[in-house]
Amino acid sequence: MSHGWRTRLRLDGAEVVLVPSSTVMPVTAALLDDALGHPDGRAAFAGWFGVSDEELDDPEIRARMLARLSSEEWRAVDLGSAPPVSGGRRRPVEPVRPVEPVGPVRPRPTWIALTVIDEDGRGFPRLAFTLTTPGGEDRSIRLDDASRWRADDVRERGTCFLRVGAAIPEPAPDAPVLATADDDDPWLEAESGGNVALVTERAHTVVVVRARTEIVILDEDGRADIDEWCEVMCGQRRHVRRTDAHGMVTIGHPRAVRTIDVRFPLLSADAVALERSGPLATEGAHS
Amino acid sequence: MPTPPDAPVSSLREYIVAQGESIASIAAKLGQTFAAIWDDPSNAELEALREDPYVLLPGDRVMVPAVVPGSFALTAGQRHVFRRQATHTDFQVTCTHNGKPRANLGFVLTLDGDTADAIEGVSDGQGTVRARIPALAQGGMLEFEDGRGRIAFRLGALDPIDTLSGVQGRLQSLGFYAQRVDGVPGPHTARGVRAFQQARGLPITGEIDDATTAALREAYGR
Repeated sequence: MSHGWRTRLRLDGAEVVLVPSSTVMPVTAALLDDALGHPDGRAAFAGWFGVSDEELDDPEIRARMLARLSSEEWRAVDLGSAPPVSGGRRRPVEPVRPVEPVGPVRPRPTWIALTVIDEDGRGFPRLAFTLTTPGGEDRSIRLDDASRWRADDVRERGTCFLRVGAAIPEPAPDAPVLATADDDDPWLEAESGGNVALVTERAHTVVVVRARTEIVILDEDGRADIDEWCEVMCGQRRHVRRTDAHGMVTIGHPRAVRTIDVRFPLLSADAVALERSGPLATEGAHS
Repeated sequence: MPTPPDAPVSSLREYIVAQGESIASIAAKLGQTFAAIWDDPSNAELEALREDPYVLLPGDRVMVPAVVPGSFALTAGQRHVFRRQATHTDFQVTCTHNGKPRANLGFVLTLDGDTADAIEGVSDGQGTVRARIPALAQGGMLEFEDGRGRIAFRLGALDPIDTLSGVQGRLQSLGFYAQRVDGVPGPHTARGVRAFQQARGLPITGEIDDATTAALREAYGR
């Protein structure tokens, strides 16, 4: 750290301190941490920001303090061990202007928005679903007439999970096209109403998909291999499932998906073989 | 997203055999094939010691190669059926009644109490029952259609013949020993050995000598 010197003078009736620019530095997190490592620094900052000593250790509050200091372009001045200003006595430096108290810091609510369409862009007006927020709160939601929904009061940033929880019906044949589905859009499996992860602070278009692929694993005797782990890569999406009582895993995916990659992570390559491929066993889906 | 338990990362892992286990059941349990384990060079010593992959001793150490999963590129929108290998193993038992084979009789083989998946069949002319059974089965019950005799059995419980428990197990199956198989020497075991020696025309010593061991192996079948 450089050591400079400073002098106090009056300018247009105001008292100012003159310092060399080499002693001026931005307020960084490290500097703030250092300042809050000392009792006098803690007392000063607690007073300026109107928070308790305990709250000074709250990372979120500390981040807000730093943000405030940065946004108001505060600078730190390295007083170092500069020579006394006059008369051999080191004069105390005037305290900096206190900032406005920030009060107890509350997390700022965030938002998420979504539109649900099928692969042809038709919507699902009034469709009910559940959204689990990043904080773990389950919200029962209903799309509006335009198949949209938005919340501006999500308490935490992060990943939400959307699920319908039951088979999603076909949109009405004459339903208007609301949007265009992209391959990159997140999707829900129509049959299971399954789970999709959506991050906050984004408007998502969620596509309900009706194509599916069935994977069945049987033992040597033709009986279902139950609870076998199965990993499926479908486009950019990775599914990890366990086979059901029929030895089956069903993967819903957009119709545009042509191939999927499957592996059984706990079975050696020699311990399982593809026996046959063919049409889906049950009706109700198409590809 | 659920996560499968971690597959072993090293090329080989040591597996300690428990009572009732064989190479076949270990392979089925660990997602390997019988051959991948038994033919691995690191198990050559065990193979030389035990000879029979179905007759291991609890505490035996088996080296199991790491699972290297295969990957399958599949056409979307279809049903794909996979078949696991090495999940089953051969079951064979020969039954007699008063010295006569229980030949050409219908049987029902129930494994681990699972009556829904009971195996039905007919014994051959020598009274031998054969079936393919899950390698992880622990035991079961064999019943013949004439209702005479129900045979309860444990699978994989037979110890090597060079152990006292292995001798007791064989004598018990052959009807010469009615006590618990515990590997502890005693008068019941000696009596069983003498009875067996007498039945096979061997010198009746009550000692488990080489000739008795060979005859026992031949009579039992392994």
